[in-house]
Amino acid sequence: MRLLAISADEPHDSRLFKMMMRIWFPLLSDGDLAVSRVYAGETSDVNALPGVTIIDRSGRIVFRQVASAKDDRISTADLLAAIDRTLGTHGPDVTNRGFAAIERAQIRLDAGGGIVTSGHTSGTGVASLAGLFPIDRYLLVGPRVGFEPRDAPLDAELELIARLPIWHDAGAIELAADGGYSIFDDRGPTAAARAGLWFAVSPTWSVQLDGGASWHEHGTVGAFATLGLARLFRIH
Amino acid sequence: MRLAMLALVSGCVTGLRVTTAASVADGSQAPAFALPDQNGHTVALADELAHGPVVLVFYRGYW
Repeated sequence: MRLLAISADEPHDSRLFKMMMRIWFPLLSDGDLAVSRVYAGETSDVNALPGVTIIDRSGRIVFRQVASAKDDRISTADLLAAIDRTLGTHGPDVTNRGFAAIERAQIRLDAGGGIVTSGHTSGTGVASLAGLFPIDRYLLVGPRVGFEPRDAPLDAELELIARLPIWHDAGAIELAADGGYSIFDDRGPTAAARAGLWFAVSPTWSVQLDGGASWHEHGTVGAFATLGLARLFRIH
Repeated sequence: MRLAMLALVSGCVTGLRVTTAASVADGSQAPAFALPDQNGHTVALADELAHGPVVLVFYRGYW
């Protein structure tokens, strides 16, 4: 979802207006009103008729509103409702200065501790690095590389995360399943399962808290808890 | 965000006549355009649509 505001202002004036009003979306300059005339109309003082046009991702116009008098203006609430109705979005996705879950790829770094057992039980540290991509709002998939110094120094896994969004997509309850291979010293297949909480702390950073269990074919079973940080990237 | 949008969509047109009516209609394909943004960088509708839906707000400028 992109919002573009268009006026006859010169770029310099738009830049000033953008700073003063702390506007985050681009202000485009349609100096000769060529675009405004087509989409909204022109008035007798050679300016654009105020209006709003919603265009779906196929390029089709799905909603138009054009002012015809001083009081004929669309309210912000009505505009957001029109966006939701015509594009199937949800208010917070539109107003959020960040981006929707389906648009987020993540690079996650997690670290923590746990126990591993293979005959005897001992404590250990764990860390992992993952790249995750959204399949839809509820599923993430991607590679994860795990480090556990005692019994699995390097695991390469594919991870699938089912996520239940909470707090208007600013958070999620996650369940993850991993399968892969413990490649260092050729220690064989490995699998893991995790459950956790994920929170976006800004449009581009999130934190996550996870607990889970892992299994290695070469004979160890472990349980671990991790705290992680993720960088979020817009991919659509 | 909401204040900024309200400020933009609430332009006053009291006492003005419409000299040219819009030529697009609901359901039609959005005419292509490319305009400079506040930094002078060209923004093309087609490029924006490649990222998803687009909302255009026409306002009467900053004065």
